Amino acid sequence: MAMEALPADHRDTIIMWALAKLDVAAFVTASAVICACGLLALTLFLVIKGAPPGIPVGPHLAHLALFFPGYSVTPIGALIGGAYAAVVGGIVGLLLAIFWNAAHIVFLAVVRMRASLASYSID
Amino acid sequence: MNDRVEREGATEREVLAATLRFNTRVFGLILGMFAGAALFALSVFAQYSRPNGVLAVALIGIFLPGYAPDWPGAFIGLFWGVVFGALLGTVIYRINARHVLDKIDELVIAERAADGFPRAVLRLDGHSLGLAIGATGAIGLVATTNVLVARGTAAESVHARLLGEVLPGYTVSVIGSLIGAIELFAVLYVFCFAFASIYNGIAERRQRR
Repeated sequence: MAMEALPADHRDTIIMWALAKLDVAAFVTASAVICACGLLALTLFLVIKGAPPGIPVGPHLAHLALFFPGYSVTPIGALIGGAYAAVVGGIVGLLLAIFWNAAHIVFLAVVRMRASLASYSID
Repeated sequence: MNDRVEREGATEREVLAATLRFNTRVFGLILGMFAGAALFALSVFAQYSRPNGVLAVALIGIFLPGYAPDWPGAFIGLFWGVVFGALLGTVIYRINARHVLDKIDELVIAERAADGFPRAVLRLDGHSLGLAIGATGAIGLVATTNVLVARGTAAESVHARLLGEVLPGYTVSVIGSLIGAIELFAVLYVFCFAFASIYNGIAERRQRR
């Protein structure tokens, strides 16, 4: 971490960074895309790699069908799994962004309340 | 002047330390809640849809004593999830924020605030995020594999061995765990970098509008 003193206005930037909100739409989209790509790539990797004759491909990953009906370790299953993963990733991203922003909104509200109480006492 | 600069420098570090403490707690709390809820839900699912999900709970239970597909096990899983999630969140956030001061201007998109309070939208640093999550995942893989090695059950760990299917070279051994950790780090780094790029791209476009 840089130890030299920064210009005074960097303190504002630090506070701005610390209390910055996440762009919910961007976060949800990025989470959905990455989760979808992750499961798609993982499934296709196993499909391309294959398995010896008589042995199923990716039997453990195929258990995801319990949660994602229609999913299988096949090219079509990869697309179906990708769609499910996008939904799950989007929901997780949405919750994460909402909780993050809510925590900062509450914190800012407390700071504002304290500041206004302090100004009353000075008056 | 030097005194003033030192005073300002100290204040900056104090401001940064205070904000890091707050954000670390928030991120740790969120990740703890998520991990706890996920483990709880998995255990409840396994209870009511036996034999589905029982294997996953049993495998996780090797590392989290008491975690099982029943109600006490679900609450123990909730506890472990909160503890490990919070720990992971803390580590990830701290590694991610290591070089914040160096690139602080690149990490915020300032907004015009009507009430005078500085407000901004967060930008993500793909490199730091990749390092943080990649390192945490890699260390986690080494730690869990070597728990199996230390227990003397490495030869029986057929499920762990399956990781070698997606991480070529990975085996349930010290060397295998290190090879797997390097590969996992690389994969997680790439995904985190891509995640940050997508997020930043969309967030900037939306702010420009």
